[in-house]
Amino acid sequence: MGVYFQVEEYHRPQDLAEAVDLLSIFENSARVIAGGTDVLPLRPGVNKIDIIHHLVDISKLGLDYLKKESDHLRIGAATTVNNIGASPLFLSGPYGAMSDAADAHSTATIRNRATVGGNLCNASPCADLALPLLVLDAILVAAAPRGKRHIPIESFYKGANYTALNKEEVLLEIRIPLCSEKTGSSFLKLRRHQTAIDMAVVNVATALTCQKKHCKAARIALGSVGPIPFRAKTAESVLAGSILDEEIIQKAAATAAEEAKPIDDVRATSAYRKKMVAVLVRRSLENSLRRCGQ
Amino acid sequence: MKMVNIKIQVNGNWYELSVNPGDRLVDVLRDQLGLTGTKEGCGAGECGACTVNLDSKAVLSCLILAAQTDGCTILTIEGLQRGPELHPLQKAFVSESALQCGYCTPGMIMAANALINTEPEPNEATIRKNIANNLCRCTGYDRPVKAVLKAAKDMKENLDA
Amino acid sequence: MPESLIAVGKSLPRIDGVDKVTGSAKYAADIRLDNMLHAKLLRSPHAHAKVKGIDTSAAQKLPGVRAFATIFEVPKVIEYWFSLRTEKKKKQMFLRDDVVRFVGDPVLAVAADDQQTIDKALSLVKVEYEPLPALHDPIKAMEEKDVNIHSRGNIAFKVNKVYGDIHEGFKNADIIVKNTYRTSKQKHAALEPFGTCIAHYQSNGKLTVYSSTQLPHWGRHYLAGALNLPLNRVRVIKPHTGGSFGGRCGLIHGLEVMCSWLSRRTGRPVRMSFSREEDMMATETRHPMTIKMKTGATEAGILTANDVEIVSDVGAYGTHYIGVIADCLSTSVGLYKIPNYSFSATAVFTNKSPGGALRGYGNPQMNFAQESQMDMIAEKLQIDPLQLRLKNYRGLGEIDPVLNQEIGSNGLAECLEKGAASSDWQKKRRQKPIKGALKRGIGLSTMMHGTGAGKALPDPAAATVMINADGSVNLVTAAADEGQGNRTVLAQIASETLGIDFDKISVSETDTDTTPLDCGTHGSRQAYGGGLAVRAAAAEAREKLLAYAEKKLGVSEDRLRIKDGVIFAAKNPEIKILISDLMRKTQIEDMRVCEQVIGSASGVAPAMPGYYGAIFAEVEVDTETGEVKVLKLTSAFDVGRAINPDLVEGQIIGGGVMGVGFALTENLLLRDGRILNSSFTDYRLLRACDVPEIVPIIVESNEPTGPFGAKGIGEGCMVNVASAISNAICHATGVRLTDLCMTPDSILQGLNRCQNP
Repeated sequence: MGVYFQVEEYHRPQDLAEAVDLLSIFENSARVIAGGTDVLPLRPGVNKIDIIHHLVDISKLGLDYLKKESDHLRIGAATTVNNIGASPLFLSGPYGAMSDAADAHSTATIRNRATVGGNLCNASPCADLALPLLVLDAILVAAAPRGKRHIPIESFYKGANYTALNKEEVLLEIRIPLCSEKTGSSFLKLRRHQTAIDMAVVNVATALTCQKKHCKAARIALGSVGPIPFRAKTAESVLAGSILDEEIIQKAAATAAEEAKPIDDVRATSAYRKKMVAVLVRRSLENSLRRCGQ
Repeated sequence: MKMVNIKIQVNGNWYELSVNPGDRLVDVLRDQLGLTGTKEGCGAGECGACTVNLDSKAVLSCLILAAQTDGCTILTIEGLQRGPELHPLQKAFVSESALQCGYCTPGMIMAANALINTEPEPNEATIRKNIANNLCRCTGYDRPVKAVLKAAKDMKENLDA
Repeated sequence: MPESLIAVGKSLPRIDGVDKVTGSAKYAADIRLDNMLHAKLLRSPHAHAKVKGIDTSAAQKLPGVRAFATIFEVPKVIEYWFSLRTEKKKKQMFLRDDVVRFVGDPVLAVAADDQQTIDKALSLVKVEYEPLPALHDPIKAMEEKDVNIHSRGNIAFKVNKVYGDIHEGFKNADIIVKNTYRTSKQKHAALEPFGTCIAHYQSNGKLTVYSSTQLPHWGRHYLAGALNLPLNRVRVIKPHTGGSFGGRCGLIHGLEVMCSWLSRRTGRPVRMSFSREEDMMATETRHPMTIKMKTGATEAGILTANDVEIVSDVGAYGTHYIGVIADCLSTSVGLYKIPNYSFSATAVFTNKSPGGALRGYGNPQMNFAQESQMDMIAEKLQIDPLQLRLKNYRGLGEIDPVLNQEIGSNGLAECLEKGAASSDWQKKRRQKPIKGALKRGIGLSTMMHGTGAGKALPDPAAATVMINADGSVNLVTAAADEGQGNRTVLAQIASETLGIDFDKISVSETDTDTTPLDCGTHGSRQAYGGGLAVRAAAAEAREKLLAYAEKKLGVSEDRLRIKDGVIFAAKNPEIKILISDLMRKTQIEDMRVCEQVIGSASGVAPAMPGYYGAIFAEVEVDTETGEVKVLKLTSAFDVGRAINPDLVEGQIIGGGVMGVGFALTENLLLRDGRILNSSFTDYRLLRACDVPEIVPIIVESNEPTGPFGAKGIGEGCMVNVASAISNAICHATGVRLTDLCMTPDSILQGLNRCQNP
């Protein structure tokens, strides 16, 4: 069909240390590949051929794992989205948002190869998996030649397609602190007419920790309505310490909509997106509330 | 450009190939091995016409570099039939009138094959989810789903027999 | 005709099924010729520009670059085969100038040894453009005097047709409904992208082109004209095709002609293959239309007048702009008896990708407007929408005033009756809405589409049937199978006519060197027009076969029957001979005869019978997000006779899904002439988990002029899906949408208007 990218050299490092070394040697001319579902697709409207000088394959470095430890869930960065969706670790109430997001990410075929690390590092403003991690206070662990670095998810995104990772760093794993049972989380994604595979028009994640209906902690994360996925903190403060009735949930949803800064693009208008933030946040909070104590 | 040497098993045969680092799996299958049954419809992993089985999983061969498949086992539509008879999926697609232009068919059959191998009795909703990456402009998906249901049933009956 | 059918009416398996499921069926991109060069087009980045100069000097120096061809020398094909009728019009078909008229319009083509060299070469070519003002709005372009997209101006075609007295008609109306409808730029989006061909100009001066055209013989004519070759030196071969839906009606803009030119220049086979993006942005699309419609009816629900004004957006070039508009007129007037009708339409050039033929032609656009009007009339008059259709449709025996033919078969009433029963129309229509954000509704629409285009365009059909020495049969036809299975249907018709089993019939490849002149596949015509030719050829072969049998058996022809490979006397079955024995004797054994049995036919079908359909659509609207879920389509279609019911159902279901896309998700979006969504990410097709349940119902009205009563189905099945869905959305929410596609945002805005009038 036509060449739309060229690779000059392909590297298959044997271990993490070698991978990180390659990245620091080749710096700006090196790119990382795992599943390849974000790196390889033909992009319409791009006429120049994408020339990749050094491609470093990190898919077989043992970075695909899912572990539960005493105070953390640990997800290897090269874990496929399908494995996250199928894992019993995320099916329960507190971490439900993760499996919601994994299921909604794309099709089963893509999810066989797409990795959670790829989704996060590609740093699309619509990244699905970033949102549950934002409401679950995740910590990202990066590896560099001089050692490991812990980056809280809130500091990970700097701009559209731009993360806090340095050129010689590789994302190693994601850590989710264990939540109390009284937490429920949910993720919702609005697509165009709910067709099966789509980038989000709007996506949201929420997490609520409550005693009966008394809200101890609230987290609301919004995607696709700003350059980076972010937490709607004013909306969160509406909920914290309150009794979670219909009225307060509507108020929080409306506040979240005000915090959103969407744009017009080929998928939707900013006015529509703002309205949909309110709808999705309300629905997601209702789901999270139901999942508290489950 | 530094060529990459790979050893891959395709449809039961081992091949030692020298590939460009930027060659996608679909390019190597079609152009180097002459296996044109796997189609390219978009180059972006969205149409599913390039679906093959890589180590038993359904994958989009336009989104995988050949270099990444060193040591792997690949199954394409040409390798599905073993012996003189068609594979139950192939038979069912013909008997249920589940193909029209046929361009999506190899990819759709390979996606279904991977599904049946992990889940021998999938229901309709699961089948639709697992062929969601396979676009079809002709059939409306109704008959293909029926064909997969029939093939799964036939395969189970053969196993039980 | 035999008493019990051996092929017609049976869901026999398609003849190409096994090839396709094993991966051995070869499509254009699978063909490899020795010594082949690769080619690619350099496309204009401007919506409208003069090409002042092209400098290929730097590119020519690259090793492996073999030839260039530019628009200064290579003509574009800008009219369709209607223009082949006279020498004068034929000259107007080929345009050679220095202007590019849409973003993506080819400027030059390069041929090189491999793909990498091509891309490098194109990056070294320097083109000097003088941008010209571009026109994007057809209504503005219509008025525009200073900017001309073509030398004859911006109006491609204008027509005014009046039946009866439109003023009288509205005077007699008790209610009048008036609206403006806008339809979208839909793309075929076939799984096999448009735009792969291999052209080989051999040293003996013969050009062979492998291309997935729907109309191989017309493609041959276009190539002969563009390259100044006699027809017998142009051969078009159509390999297996991955769907066309009207987009490959002839040649693809910039593909085959450029490839042939490059092959002539280099003496080597040249292969060009468009990417999906090139398919989306630079090949034909549906004609978007603005349709102003004013319809009058009496209180009793009888239509008295219809005033239609259409502006059709042709894009930069258009080969089908006349036919598409004619289709709007004929399908609308053909369906309903409206005694006073004023139809005015203007097809306008704009600087966008070209409009062409897309399943349904002009009917889906027109039907969306017309069937929305009908629904509003029903609502105003408080009449059941179904009854309104029954009161007004043009029935059996009536004269279609556009096509000037008597309606010989019409199953519309049966479609409505069966569809209503199956979908539980009455009950669902009266259902009270449930509490909550989700609202359900049911809507109906009807349609009529013409079978073939014989009244509007040259529509030849031809076939040859050859009975072999062993009793098997070769059917030779230029029918181009795009996926619908027409070659299988033609084999069934041959089988039934001959009395020889279906599995003994082989169908030829589609190759203009060996298959006689047939229009090809378009306009739902193959089963009907192609089928009539096959039936006539098979009838002639059967007659000759029986004449030989008569000589051998001493029983007159009219007393002989054919069954299970045996010819026997009806009254005395022991008087018999195997077809294979008879044919071996006639063709080989008897050296004084040595004659194969061959039957041939060539000509045009006697009519353009309408085929009818009714769709009942059930939807669920999320009134908080505006999303529409289509729950079910009950689609009843009158196809005259279903030669192969499975294939007919395949069309009804597949067309239904394409119709849902047209209604809700598919639209090429442009800004300043640039298409913003040229990939499947943003040009939305429905997937396996998105589609509604579709219940196909086949109605058979037995068209007297059709082979075994058959008419068409291929396009009609998508024509009235959008209008049915729109009527269902209105039933569910009270929102009446007049623009396609019906996005969640537009529905939300409509709901807002309903709540805040």
